[in-house]
Amino acid sequence: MLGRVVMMNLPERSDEELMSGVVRRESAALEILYDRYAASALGVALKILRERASAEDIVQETFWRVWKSAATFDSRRGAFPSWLFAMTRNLAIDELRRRAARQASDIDLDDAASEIPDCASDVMDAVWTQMQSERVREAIQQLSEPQRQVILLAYFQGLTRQEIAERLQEPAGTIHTRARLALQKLKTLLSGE
Amino acid sequence: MPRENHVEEWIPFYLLGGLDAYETEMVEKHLPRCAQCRAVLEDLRGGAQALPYAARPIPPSPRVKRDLFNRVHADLRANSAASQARAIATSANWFDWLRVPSRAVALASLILLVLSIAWALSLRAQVDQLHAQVNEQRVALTLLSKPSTVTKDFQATAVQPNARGQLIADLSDHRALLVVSGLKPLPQGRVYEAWLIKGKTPVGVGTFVVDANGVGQILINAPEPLRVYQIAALTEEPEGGSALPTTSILMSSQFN
Repeated sequence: MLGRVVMMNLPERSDEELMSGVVRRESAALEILYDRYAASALGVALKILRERASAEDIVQETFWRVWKSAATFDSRRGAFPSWLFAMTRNLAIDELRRRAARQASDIDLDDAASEIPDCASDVMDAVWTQMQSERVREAIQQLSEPQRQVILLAYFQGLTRQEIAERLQEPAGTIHTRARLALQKLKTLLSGE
Repeated sequence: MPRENHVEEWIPFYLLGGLDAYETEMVEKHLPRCAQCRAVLEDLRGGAQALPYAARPIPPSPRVKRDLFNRVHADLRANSAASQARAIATSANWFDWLRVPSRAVALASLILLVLSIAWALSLRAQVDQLHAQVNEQRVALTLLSKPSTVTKDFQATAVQPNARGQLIADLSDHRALLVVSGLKPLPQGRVYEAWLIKGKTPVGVGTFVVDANGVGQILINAPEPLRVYQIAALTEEPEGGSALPTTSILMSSQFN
């Protein structure tokens, strides 16, 4: 079933082709990319900021930068989603730091309620994104608690390795090892699907 | 720098965005000349790239897409108009150029287009302002609904004794809503500025004006939680605000 859904969802134009279109000022290309990734980008921003209005502003700003800075995207340095989500995360972390509101609250993978995608132009895209998300969250749940804690504090709360070591009162070397093992295990779990 | 001048230990945090600026620079300088560290990077990259998907995807409201593409289309129109304007500007002889009726019509059309874009941009600015106001109201409502929110009287001094005000704040938060009435409307170029005072240091937290009835409000977003400040105050300042208060305190409230 998974294979079938993914096959049905194969995009007609790759992200790279669409980005070439954006460089040529084709707003339709940007729209396809928006429909493909905006929900995931909002998920990232919302998880960091925990406030929908600000998170939606971040998503809009992210795609505006995609439009304005499309020529700086280089597919040899990484795939489009990595570039896009890095931009989303950095904008959201900057906003979080501006608020100076880092809180030591526990990280809850399910804190942002899932919603039915009522406005996605491509329902299959949305279904596929949801499935991908569930797969990654299941993989993260299989990490040990200390490993999970380290990578989520870094990625979603914007803490540096030193800040994480201080917060968890662990030596920096221990934090480094946990992060490395967590990323290796995640890769193994996800590629083993 | 990690041992043996390699950056392997930092690479997981490089991928997670968890290095400071110096460390990031070190890693980026090191990677092009070290195959060993590049191999570690490639080994871990897949795991890091999956992390954005750990957040549940949430479709943005239609407003986000609408606003984005309004900006994109305005940008396309502005660039198109600018390109046409540049092409016209390079014509050697404007007068000769305009003698051809079709060109004069084209120029008139271009001017109309530019004016339309300017009008659209002005509308866009108004929409942005309305969005900002709605957002401010949303934050204010959130503040009002919090059980830890308290209301403090904002008391007038002898300068404008008829002024009244209330400061609605959650002292553990950075935000507060200040609502005033009975203040004198100010001449152009002058504004009211709100201050939070920590020890002996005032911090400007925003300016506003009042309407003809002397009513105004401001959503304060303080750099630190409100509990670290002792006093909130209001002064009259030049437009744009001042680095430090330059006139007498008109209203104030003590936090503690």
